Formats: sequence, C-alpha cells, structure tokens
Amino acid sequence: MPVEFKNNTAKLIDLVSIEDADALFNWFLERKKPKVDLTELCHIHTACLQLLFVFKPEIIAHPEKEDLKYWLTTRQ
Amino acid sequence: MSNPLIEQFIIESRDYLQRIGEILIVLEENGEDKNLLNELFRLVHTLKGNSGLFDFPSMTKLLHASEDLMNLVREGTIPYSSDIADLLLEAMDIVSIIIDEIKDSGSISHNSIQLAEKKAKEIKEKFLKSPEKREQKIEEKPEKKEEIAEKIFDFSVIPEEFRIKAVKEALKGKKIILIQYGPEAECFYKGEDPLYLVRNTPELIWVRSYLREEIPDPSLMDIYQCITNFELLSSANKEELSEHFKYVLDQVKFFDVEPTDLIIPEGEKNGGPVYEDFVSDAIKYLEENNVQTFKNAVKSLIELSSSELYFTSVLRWIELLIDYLPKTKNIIEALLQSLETMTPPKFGLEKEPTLPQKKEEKPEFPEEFLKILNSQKIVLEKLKTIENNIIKTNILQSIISSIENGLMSLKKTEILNEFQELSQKTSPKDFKLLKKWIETKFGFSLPSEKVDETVSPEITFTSTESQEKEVSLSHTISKVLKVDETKIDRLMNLIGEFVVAKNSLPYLAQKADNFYGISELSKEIKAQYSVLNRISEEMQDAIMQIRMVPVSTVFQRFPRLVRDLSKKLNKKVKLVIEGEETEADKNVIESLSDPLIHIIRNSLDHGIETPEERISKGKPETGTIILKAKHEADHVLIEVIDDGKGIDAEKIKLKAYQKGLITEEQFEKMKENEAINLIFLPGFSTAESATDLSGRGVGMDVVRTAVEKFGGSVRVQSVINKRTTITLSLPLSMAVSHVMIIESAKEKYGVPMESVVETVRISKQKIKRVKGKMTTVLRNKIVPIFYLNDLLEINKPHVINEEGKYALLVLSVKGELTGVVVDKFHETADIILKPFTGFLANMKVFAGTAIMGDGSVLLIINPKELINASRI
Repeated sequence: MPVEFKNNTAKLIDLVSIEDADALFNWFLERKKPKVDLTELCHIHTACLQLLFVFKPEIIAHPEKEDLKYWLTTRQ
Repeated sequence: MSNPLIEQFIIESRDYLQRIGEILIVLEENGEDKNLLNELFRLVHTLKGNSGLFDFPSMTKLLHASEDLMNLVREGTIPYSSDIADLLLEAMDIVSIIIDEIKDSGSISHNSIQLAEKKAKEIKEKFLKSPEKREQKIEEKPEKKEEIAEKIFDFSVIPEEFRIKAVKEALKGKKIILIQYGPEAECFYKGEDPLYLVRNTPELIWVRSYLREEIPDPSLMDIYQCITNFELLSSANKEELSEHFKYVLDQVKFFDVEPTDLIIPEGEKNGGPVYEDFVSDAIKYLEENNVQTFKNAVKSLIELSSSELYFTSVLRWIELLIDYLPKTKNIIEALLQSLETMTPPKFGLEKEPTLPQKKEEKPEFPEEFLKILNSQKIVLEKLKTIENNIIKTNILQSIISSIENGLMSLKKTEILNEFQELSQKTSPKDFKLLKKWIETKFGFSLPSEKVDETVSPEITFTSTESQEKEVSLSHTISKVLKVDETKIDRLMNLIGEFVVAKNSLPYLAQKADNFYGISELSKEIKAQYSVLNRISEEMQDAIMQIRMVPVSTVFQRFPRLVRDLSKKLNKKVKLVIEGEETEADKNVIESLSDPLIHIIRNSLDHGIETPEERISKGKPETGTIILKAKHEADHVLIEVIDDGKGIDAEKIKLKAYQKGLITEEQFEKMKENEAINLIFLPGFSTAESATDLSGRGVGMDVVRTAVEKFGGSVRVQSVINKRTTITLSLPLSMAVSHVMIIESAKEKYGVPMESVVETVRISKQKIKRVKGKMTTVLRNKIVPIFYLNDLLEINKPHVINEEGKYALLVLSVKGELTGVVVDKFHETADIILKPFTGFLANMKVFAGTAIMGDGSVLLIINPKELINASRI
C-alpha cells in the first residue's frame, strides 16, 4: 500500500497512483488537521497531487527526491 | 471472451475506427481542417494507447506508424492527399480485421500480423523517412509560435536560483522556453498523468503547478477531473519539446523567453552600505574592460553584504554576466543604473526613451483616438497569422488610412507627416516598423491591461469558459451508456415473458369467477391486471426505445464504399446522405446493411456512367447517389436514387426472355413498370460481363429476399437516362408482431396482420373449380382459394357456420390476393415471435411460435411459404 494512514498522518510511499486517490480523498475529508509525510515518495499521480493542493495538509517531511520536493513546496 | 476489459476495448475500438474512417473521407473531400486533423490524431492516439494495454504489438506498431503520419499531416509538414487517405484507410482496415479476430478467437492470426507489419513498414518508408521535410518543419515552427512571454507571465514568481540557472543556459547559447500546460479535465480517463509528463520534460529548469480553479467545497470535488495547471522553463529546443508533449500539443503553449525577462533583482532595498563608489568604480572597470578586477570586486562585495538585499541580488546577476562580456555589457550597465536609482533595471533600447515621452504625449491625444489606435494595433498583431498576401495588404491599407484620418482630424500635421513617411515603407511582409511606431508614440498612453486582454486571448488557455465547456461536455458524454446488445436482448426476452405471465391474469380472474364462484376476487384480479398491463406496455415501449438506433449506423460505411468503388471504376460519384437520424429497431437497421451494399454497388456499376459518357449526354461529370431515409407510418423507407442511365425496360424484358425467366406471352404483354421489377428475379443481371463489383446475377434477388425476410418490401422506379430510385420499406420494429388468431381443426394459429387483407364469409356454392383449382369471385376479382387443413395436411373438413358459410381469410401474398378457408376467426393479439431453432427451423410454413396468456403455444403461419407449399 503506497499510502499508510496513521491517526492524522498519511505517509506517502514510493509511487502513489490514481488508484489511491479515492482513499486519500476520503481520508482527507474525515480529518480536520491532516498531515502528510512525503519522505519516501518517489512519484505522485496528478490526481493525488491536486488533492494535496485542495486540502493543504501540513507537510511534516518533504520528499527526499530533489525535484519532487520542489513540486510540493512551490505551489501557488 | 471472458475478459471484460478486452470486450470494452473491442466496442470502443470499433467506434474509433468508424469515426477515423469518416474523418479521413471528409478530409479528402473538404480539404484540411485543423480541428478534424486534431480529432483524427487523438482518435488514433487513443486507439494506439488502448491497444498497448494488451499484448497486440503488431497492432500497436501499425497504429503508431499511422499516428506519426497523421502527426506530420497535422503539423502541416506534409499535405493531406488521396495517397495518404488510401494508406491510412488500408491501415485502419487491417486494424479492423485484427479487432474482429481478437473478438472471435482472442488472438491475432499470423496472416494479419504480417499484414500489419507490412503496412507499418510501408507508411514508415513512404512518409516517415524524409529528413528534408522534417527540416522544413523545424524552420516553419518558430515563426508561427512567436509569442511574447513577457506579457503573459510574471517571471518574478520563479525563484532567483532557477532564473540564474536559466540565464546561464541562455548565455551558453540555448533558447529558454516557457511552457504553459493546461491538461484537459478528462485526461485521467485516458491514462495520462500530466505530472509524470512534466517531470520527464527534457532539460527542465523550473516548474510549478497550481489549481486552475477554486474548490469552494472540497467534499464535492470530482477527484478524477484534472484541475491542475503547470508552468515550466526548459532549455531544450522546441522540436524536442514538441515531441515530448506531442499527445497533448493542443493543451500546451510555448513561449520564447529572453534572458532579460529573467534578470529581475529582488530583495530589501533599504539598509546596507552606500554603493555609489561601487557603481562608479564598476563603470570604470567596464569601460576599461578590466574584467578580472571587476569580478573580484563584485565577489568580495557579495560576501560582505547580506544575501537578502536588493543590492546583493543585483551583484549576483552581475557576477553571472561578467563571464559573458562583452555581449552582456548593456545588461550590466542597466543593472548598475538600477543600483543608483533603486528601480528595476531597464534593458533594451526602446523602453528607456518612451518613459519620459509618456508624460508629454498623453494629454495631447483624446481618449477616442487612443482607442482607435489601440484597436488598430490589435489588428496589426493578428496580421501575423494571416497568410494570404492580398488580404494582408487590404487590412494594412485600412489600418493606415484610419490612423491617417484620426491624425488629420486632430490636426497633428507633424506626426501625420512622420506617419505618412513611415506608412510608405510598410508592406505586408514588414509592418514591424509601423507597430513599433505606434508603440513608441502612443504605447504608454494606451490602457495596457486592455491590450493584454485583447491581444492574447488564446493565451488564457485555461479560462473558466473553456473549462465550463469541458465540464458540460463531459457530462453529456457520461450520460451515454454503452451496453452489450445481448443484455438488451435478455431484458427484452424477460419483458416478453412478463407480458405473457401478465396475460394469464384474465384467465385466472375468469377461473375465480366461474370455477370457484368468487366474483369479488375476480374483480380484484382484473383491477390488478389493468395496473400490470399498463406497466408492461410502458416497459415494452421503453425497451423498444432503447433498441432504436439511427440509420446512420448503417449509412456511415457508405461514403467509404462509394469512394473506393468509384476509384476502382474510374467514375466520379458524389454520395448525398439524407435523414440519417431516422431511427428504427436495431435488427431492422442491421438487416438493411447487406441489401443497401448491393443496391449501391449496382448504382455505381450499372447506373452511374463514366465521366466521358456523362459529358456526352450533357450531364454533370460527377454522378450523384442520394441515400435517403424517412419514416412513413410504422415503416422506415430507404431510398437509393442515382442520376445514372436508368433501367431500360425493353432491354430487361428481352434479357429475361432470353434467359428463359419469362414466357413469350409474358414478354409481349408486360408493362414497363413490371419489366423493371424483373431485375429482382433470381439469376438476373444486365451487365455485359461480370465485374469485380456486381453483375454476377445474384444482386437484386438477394436484396429482395433479405428485405422480405424482415417483413419489408422493395420496389424500383426508373426514368431512362435520368434516374433510378430503389425504395426499401421495412417495419420500424420486429420485436412485437401483431397477429390475427384463427382456428382450424380445433387448433389456433396466428397470421401476421400485415398479410391479412380482410375476413369474409362465403357460401360453399360460391367456390368454383377452375382447371382443378378452387377459386371464387370476390368484389369482381378472381381469387384462388386454399383450404388451410389441406395446406397443413390435416385430414379434416372445414367447419361451416349456421348459415352454411365458410370463414375465408383473404391474404395478400407477393402482392396477389389469396383466400384461405379456415374454421373460425378470433381476436388479434400482440405477440413476441420466437423463431424455430434446430430441426424445426426447416419448417418454413411457420414463422415461429408465441406463448399465449393461458400458457398455450400459438403457431404463427408464414403466409408466403404456406401458399408456396400448396404449389409444390
């Protein structure tokens, strides 16, 4: 499972695909202050990326991948 | 075929292939159309993508080659031609064969694999390996896409480190390109991941993504709609980028970026040391070309100053630019100047002098004039996109004269003279001077925001309007449901059974009353029955609606047929289709397909003359075939009209006589109209020699047999050398048949209502034997009479009523009246006909069976076969 949910934190691991969008979406809807841990994230499908934009979770750890780190911090 | 994914793939692929075929032909007829070319490319691309999901490499390869070819056409590298159409149509035919094979056996035959490989190779060799053409494409491109990035993008959003990186690349001689990518909302459904595409962009320098629309309530968002936009900087060349984004080119915009667009110093302007000394020193170093000292001075100052300062930012830029002196001298000077004034640097020549002019000129021109000027400037901007030189000249002329008029009315003779001088130098090829003149003279007086809005409407590619369109489009798409036909058939059968089950209720009511003597229960059952009856009728109606399809599903294959055949025959033919939205039951529509192919082939082969022949007859060179569909009562009429040579009745008669199809007596007496209908006789053909297309003598009788099998009829009318009209008439629906129930030897039978002319009672004496055959005179017409019991080989005499009269059912069989004696007439009924299967299928006297409300089985008579049986 590329997304591990623990209390208020979702850990995104490796490749988060469009199949995970629904679970992630529902999880965000249920949480008041969601947090995400992106340390081990290698790629995130656009559908999930835009969920991060919409729900604006607190990013508690940035991806180790340089370019991806940039993606998730430079949104408008 | 158990894999639902493959089933879906097959259904979709057939749709795509159909549409691809249509577009290819429309393109050939109407010339290149950008939208169609785009659609074509997308269709082939989607098809290719889908095929890639399965293990059909030869199919994917062929589609890939076709796609590349379409891409070249789409980009205008090679013009669309009949050759390309042929090649692509053939390629799609092969794909179609492959899809049929996959449906039938789940795999592709060796033969088809070879065909596909061969065709893919052919496409590659003919079109995809021509380097000259490719180069041509490269040259053309930048011209078209010359857009000014500065206007649409605020480069200061890019962090300095990335701007520095980009400028470095630019100074090394690379072009920097800004890409705006607005993926379409439905892209996820196509298996696209825009982020993945963007991350893999060649020579990516910087990128940002953002939501293009507000999501007021996240809980209502559609997570499978893409609402993210991307903006990126890359130093790859445009060709590489076009290749990378080739599947989404319509969603991507490229803009050339100048290094000066990116050199934007930023930071805190107050505080820090006083820089005047540095500026004067630096200018000195620059003039002396003392690069090393200058560089050292800059370096040490950067180290000393806080990195947050505006000053330091300017220094960082200068440090970068020093290495590329002298070409960067102007930029460095501007940066130094900006340090003195603490205002953003002004690069380039034209911008500086215009600034002070702004204040002087503005009050001199009234608002109206500036507005006119503004609109003329917008037209000028758009002039670039016009290719026709005459139009260009005219437009330019009108721009010049309107500005002249404006200046004259303002009495600005000085400026007017200047303008007239300039306008003489202006030509359709070079109107940059004029544009620049407007910009420098009045540029800063113009309401610049408005200019931006109007000049670059295309730039706002993610405008809310287009999004709304996309969204509404997606809604209409999602409301169409594609269902396998067998599922509909099953539903229809179930409804049929429900109707039968429902019909048992009146019997039950009767039984409750008569047998058990509970009349109240009987009434209640009847009340319930009427409710069920209403629902079942509505259900039947609804399922009929579902089964209704437009005739276009059959018609759409004809443009291709006509195109191919007319090429083969060297004839010029235009196919006109009318009323393709006319609907009828799916089975009816499908039954039309083969007869229509025969008819159209005949029209092309025998009807339409060669161009030379047509010209000599004074007809237009191009023949016309009209394919028309319309409703008439409960029938659908299909007419095929051609303006060819018509049918020569005498020739037909003679031919039929020679072939022994008619007797000498018939030959003498036959009327023209009857003679024409001889073409429907089996074994008839007038073509002198059998061609590849038709003329083997199996044409029109096949048409008639096919149409009659479905309860339809066909007729032909012709005016020699003018036209031939062949009309097919078919029932709208074949699911529910209306039958009349009759009784003979205590058995009930159904007779299709369309054959029943009337029911009469005739006395025994009125039946006369003529030459061993029973006949009677009915309304002054001699009608042959048959006894149903004889026909069905039931050894019982027919019953007569109290008045001593027989019940005579008058039928119309092949247009002739025939009387059939039966025992009794009953009511008519709507039944669902189930044809015989297996061994019983050979029993042609009956069309099939139907189950009645009381559970009994009703045999449905096929009148034509019934009468035929008597003759044997």
